[in-house]
Amino acid sequence: MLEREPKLPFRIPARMQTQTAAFLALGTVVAIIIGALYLAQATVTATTFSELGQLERTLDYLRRENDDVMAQIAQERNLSKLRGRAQSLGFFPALSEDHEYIIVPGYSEVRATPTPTPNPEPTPVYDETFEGWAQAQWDNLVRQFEAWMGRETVE
Amino acid sequence: MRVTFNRRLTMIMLVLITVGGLLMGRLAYFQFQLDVTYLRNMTGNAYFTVNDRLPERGRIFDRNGELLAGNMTEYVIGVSPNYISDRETAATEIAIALNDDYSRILALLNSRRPYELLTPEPVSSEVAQAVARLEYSAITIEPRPKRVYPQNSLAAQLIGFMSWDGSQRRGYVGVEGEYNSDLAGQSRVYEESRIPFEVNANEQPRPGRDIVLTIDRSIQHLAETELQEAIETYGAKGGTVVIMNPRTGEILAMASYPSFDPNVYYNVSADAMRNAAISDAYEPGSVFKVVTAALALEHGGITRDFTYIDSRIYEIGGIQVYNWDRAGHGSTVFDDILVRSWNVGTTTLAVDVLGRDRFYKGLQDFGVGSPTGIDLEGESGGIFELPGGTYWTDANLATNSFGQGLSVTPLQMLSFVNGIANGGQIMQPHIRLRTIDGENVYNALPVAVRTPISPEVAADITDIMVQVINRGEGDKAYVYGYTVAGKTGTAEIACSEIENSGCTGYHPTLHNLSFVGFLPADEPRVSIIIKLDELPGFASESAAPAFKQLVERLVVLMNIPTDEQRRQLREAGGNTAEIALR
Repeated sequence: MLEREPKLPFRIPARMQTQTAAFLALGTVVAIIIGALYLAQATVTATTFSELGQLERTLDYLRRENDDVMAQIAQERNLSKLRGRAQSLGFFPALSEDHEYIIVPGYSEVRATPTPTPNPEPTPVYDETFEGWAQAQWDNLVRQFEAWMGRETVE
Repeated sequence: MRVTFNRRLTMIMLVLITVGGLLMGRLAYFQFQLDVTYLRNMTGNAYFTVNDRLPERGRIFDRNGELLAGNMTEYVIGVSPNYISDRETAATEIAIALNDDYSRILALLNSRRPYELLTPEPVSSEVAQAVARLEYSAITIEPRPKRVYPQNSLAAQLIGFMSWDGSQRRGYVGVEGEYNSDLAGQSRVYEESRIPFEVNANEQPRPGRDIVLTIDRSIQHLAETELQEAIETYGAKGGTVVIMNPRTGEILAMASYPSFDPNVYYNVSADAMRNAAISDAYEPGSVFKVVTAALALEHGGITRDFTYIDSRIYEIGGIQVYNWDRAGHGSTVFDDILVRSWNVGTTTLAVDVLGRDRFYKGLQDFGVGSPTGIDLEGESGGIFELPGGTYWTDANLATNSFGQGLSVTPLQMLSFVNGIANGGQIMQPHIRLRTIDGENVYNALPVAVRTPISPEVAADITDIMVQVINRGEGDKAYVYGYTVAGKTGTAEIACSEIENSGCTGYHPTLHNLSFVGFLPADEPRVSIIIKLDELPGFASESAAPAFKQLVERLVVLMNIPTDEQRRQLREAGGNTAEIALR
């Protein structure tokens, strides 16, 4: 009777184990980096939104304060107060004869100012051709060359 | 053994990788795909609060931009006592900030209830800031809008007031009531997220529109001051003044006494809130004669050369009509019907010259019995019975001709006179000059609503009304330097309208006294009615001098030159018609 050769247990090669470990380690590092970046970004965003909310609350508050100040100014400008203050400063109500009317030649309070009619500049027409442009460049070059040679150009 | 271990290790690794993958996938889902409703459902709305944001109510200005009704903010301060650890220290600090009693605050902080109001009434911005500086997270400070009227009682019945109708604000009386939908704006219900990564859309509710009125607060103040002085001087029960621009129908001032302070409207009786100028109809008396006279010239086929025989008594419909002096004046000219205010004269015009149908048709053309349509809440159309009505008799034809037996509001009466001042055209009385809606401005344009008489008749009646002041019953309304057209009115009052009168019919001594006029007569800039309630005597003795006193101050405020100044201005090439109101 033949004795069967005992079956060896399955073994992962050492090289493969190293590769797997390295791969997992790399994945972990990448995940940690991404997580850290994500966390940092989320923190910045939350802080920014919080500041934004605070600014909006400040805006609302300032609006309300503005209304309050307007109302307080109006209360201080109350006619009874103004009248009392004016009297304490020695002012007295004006009478009709205290008024003097003057003529302002040509003045009319209700005259409408005529709106000036716009006179539009004609739209410039671009009619340069390539040939014309090349000629102009050539002429320019020639003028510069002649100037360099000491010769006067006559326009 | 080793084989089995390795297999298990592999299985565990696969399971871990699968679980890790699922977790990563779930994270990705949270990050990129998650619907916010999921969070809301999962957390029972703990991440959101639903708020109802109230809009800013529109403001009310006078024609020169002076604030008549504005907004302020009060703050409701509350505390959650459970979140405060050191209550003695907190109570000390809060009491100082609120300027309140330490023991009361401490009692509130020791309360077992989850929420307590720290102040029974809302506090000012300064106090709220002082509390906010304490930086207690347990303290909540909620803003609450408050309507303010910086001019206090000035033009109170005209402006009205705002009150709370449940959780909504509503304007009552005057402009606040009439333009409530414009002023109110639109509240906005919105969800405020507590998730730190969500921006709350700062959607403001649509604010109310601002209303600019035609009134000038200085003129309004003058009208109120002069009215009160007249009431005190003559002992009237109340009174009304309306000042208008007859060319445009703009109300420049509208004052009634008694008045109220809209800042404390809850302490005021309904009577004081009523705008008598548009709500209280009264029998106008002799001021109404200008209408009858104008209709006689327009539709009666007569001219100012018309004369009649005044034989002291005119009998019609079972009544006897007398003049105020109980005398007959024989042959009387047309102008004297107004200048001397003869009742027999206007009765003659209504009965013999116009006749029933033309007279009443003419009155309707003027707008008698119809509200003027002014843009204010609570206008009355008066009481006016036409022929065929239950209580109408032939006697009404006579009494109506001199302003008895019918009732009009002071504003209606002034509108009729405006028709005369404005060459026969009655302009729509209005109180709104413009509406401001953000960047958009909507101006109210003058509109002619009635043309009951021709320009020629208007000029004739104006000329006679000038005589009323220069040589007639209204001489005490004469204003030095100015040509004023006017008419007095001494109207009897039905006993039923006087409290505890103890009489029947008309009261024997008390009258409603009024004066209506405009100036300059040839170039009218302003028309005025002044009415004093329940006084003995005649309008020429009280209403006319009160009118004069008012006009003497008014011409200064409105920059109306004297006749002589206007003549000089014209000679120098100026156009006096263009000296416009500010």
